[in-house]
Amino acid sequence: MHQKGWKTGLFGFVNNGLLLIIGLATIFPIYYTVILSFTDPVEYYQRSLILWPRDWTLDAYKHLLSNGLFVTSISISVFLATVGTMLSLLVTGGMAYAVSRKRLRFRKAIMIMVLITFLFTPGLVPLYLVVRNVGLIDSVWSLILPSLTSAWYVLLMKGFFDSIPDSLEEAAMIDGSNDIGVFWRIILPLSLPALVAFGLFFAVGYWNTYFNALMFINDQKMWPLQVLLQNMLVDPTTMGSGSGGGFAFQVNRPVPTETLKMAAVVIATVPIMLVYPFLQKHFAKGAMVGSVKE
Amino acid sequence: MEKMDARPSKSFLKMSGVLLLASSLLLSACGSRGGSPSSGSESGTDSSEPTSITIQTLNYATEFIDNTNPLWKELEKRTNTKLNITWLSPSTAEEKINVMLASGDLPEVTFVETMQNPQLQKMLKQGVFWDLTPFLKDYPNLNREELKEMWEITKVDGKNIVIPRYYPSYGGGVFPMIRKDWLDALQLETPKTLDEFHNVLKAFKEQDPNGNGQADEIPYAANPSALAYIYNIFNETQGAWKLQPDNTLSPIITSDASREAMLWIKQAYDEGLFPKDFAIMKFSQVMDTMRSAKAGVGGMSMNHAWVTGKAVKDVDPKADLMPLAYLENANGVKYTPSGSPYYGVYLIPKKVPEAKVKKILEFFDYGYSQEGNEMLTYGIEGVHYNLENGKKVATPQAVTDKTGDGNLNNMIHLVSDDMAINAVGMPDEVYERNVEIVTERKTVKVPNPSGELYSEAYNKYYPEISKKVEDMRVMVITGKEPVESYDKLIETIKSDPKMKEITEEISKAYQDKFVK
Repeated sequence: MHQKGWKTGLFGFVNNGLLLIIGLATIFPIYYTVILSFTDPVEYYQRSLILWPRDWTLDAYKHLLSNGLFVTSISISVFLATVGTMLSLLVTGGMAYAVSRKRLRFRKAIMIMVLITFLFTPGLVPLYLVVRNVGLIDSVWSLILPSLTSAWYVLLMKGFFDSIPDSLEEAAMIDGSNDIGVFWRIILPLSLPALVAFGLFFAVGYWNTYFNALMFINDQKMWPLQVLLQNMLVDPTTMGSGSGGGFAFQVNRPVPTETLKMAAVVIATVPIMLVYPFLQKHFAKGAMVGSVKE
Repeated sequence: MEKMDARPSKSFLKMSGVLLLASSLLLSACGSRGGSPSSGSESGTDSSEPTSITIQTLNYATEFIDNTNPLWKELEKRTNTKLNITWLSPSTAEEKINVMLASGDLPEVTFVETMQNPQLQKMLKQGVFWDLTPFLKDYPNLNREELKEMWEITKVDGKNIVIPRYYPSYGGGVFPMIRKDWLDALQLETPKTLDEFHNVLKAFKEQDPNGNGQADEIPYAANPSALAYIYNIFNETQGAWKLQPDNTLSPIITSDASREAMLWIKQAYDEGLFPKDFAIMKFSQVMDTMRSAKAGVGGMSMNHAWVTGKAVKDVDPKADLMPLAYLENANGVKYTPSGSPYYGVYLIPKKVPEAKVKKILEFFDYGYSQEGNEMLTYGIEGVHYNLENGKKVATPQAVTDKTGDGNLNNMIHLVSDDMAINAVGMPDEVYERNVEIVTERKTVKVPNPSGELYSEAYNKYYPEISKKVEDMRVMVITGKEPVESYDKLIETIKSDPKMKEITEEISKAYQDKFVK
């Protein structure tokens, strides 16, 4: 008895110790990033590892936030992450629900068409041409419409809807609900955990909008946050390395300091990270419990 | 029962109807939001009406200006144009330009960063752009003496299709920038040869130039790619190719001189003259090391005597960064970096009417005139700068209107060495010394046979080959591989059919262009 207790104690000790080390290893880069963003660049050059800055400074943040475009770019990003996410959920959910119901006509054909987009990507030039010809260049919608949904998410969500029994739906229809009503009142509320999870995927995706914005947005006032931050952190010493003969063209612009980059990382990640705690509780909810008896 | 069967299909119709409606609403919403694509193709023959010109070009500033900017307006007024400029951020321009070229969606004036762009090369052959040769003679400022060379070397099959953007040949490029105050503290001469340079680095390590009693100095802040010029010093040529007496080019990557250059770097590495994580440092980390004021030498273009020099001074007030003029190899042959007299080119697609082409050339002619050229960089006299003792002193308005910060001054560069050797706020003595050094650099003529050549095989195969060699060099320098493995690799590359194909293509391109 006594011996066993000692053994479990040791096991727990080692176990906790290991997990603690792994936990610290994952926390440390985040900690270091945040700390560096508050450090004076000169101090950063002189010390090799900074765990606690001698002097705290907000200079890096001041520099980034003083950009006149900061407010517009963050509102574009917020617009994308909210409106974009809503629309994506609606379209993906609607599509996935439709193809998960066996009574849908041409269901197979629709599924194959969805799968084709999953297997083949046409590349950048056709996409650019479509966006331009529809007249979406320099419009926020060019950042939402092309990425409204993806075959992958439709398939994942379909898998989720497949697990909702038909009998539940029939019950609602007997009570006089139509398809839209069933989808809106029964299916969506039941799928809340899935919607939250997918919503988070979409929101992070929209928040990180970068490449499409580079391609489709010429007007700086329409830049999302990530593009703006990237442009502020351009290293002028690497500009124009495409020139022949290894003769690098160098611009009169100071090299962004490491602390500035860290501050940009913090600004770019913190807002979207703040969303997680609010959605946490929805993940845990068991939605299907007691809804129907088979 | 029957009712039950009919119901789903009816509601399916309803549902799809709603979806259709929703999607059409969405589409119409975006249609109204997105502006129509620019259509500035009304011909500009009427001399009183301003001609509208759509231009796509790079912008190096953090905030781009638009047509409400006073300098922009002044430029429109003086050239009688209506400018519609699409700015591209330089770090990402290449991808976007490639997509635009591939889609044929080109503004009336299109900027491409390098003539070696494969897509551009194809289009030049297809005749997508105006041949400007017959028009050029009418524009005196485009024929300025300083610009002659750039027009000459950018010819495609003897025709001037591109409008090159001027950039000085000397003053840029990665070359040692040395801590003059450290040299003075140790009473050392400015190094002129590679041997002297090596000795200076050693002295920086051993003799405590910063005088703090600790051996904390890093003689040379560098990573392998910042030392590429060492190979050029040994090979006595610019670029990756060396001209042979029979008018063929040979790759310097496999030459014996490159082997010696590698061993020179290896010796310096073994003596601890580079940072300890030399092999894995990124360029920004090299610059950080420089700015920590602990390094004696860094590789930079001449304007960094102040751009970076000031950052070093913030840490160590005595610091003084001085570019080297040149370095001599063991054969007594001098080397200094020099490049093409232009950077990037403008193109006018054929869909632009001839009258407008002339108008566009007129615009560039103004941009390269003394008056227009200075205005684009310094702004308007009395508003953005005042003349004091013959020098232009910027007013606060210059900052407000974003003058000279990478906006309009990068559309057409100032025709002056200042592009590469001056910087905002550079003190007179640093500037004057830079002028002296760049004048000295100009006496050193290092051939650059491959600078303007294009080869498809080179684009396709060379990056992979050079990556292999560069990786091996680093292994040898850091002592992880013996020199014999390097020799073996070079032997296989010499007999590689791909390398032969590249060499033949480049040599042929050289002969087509320069040997008549």
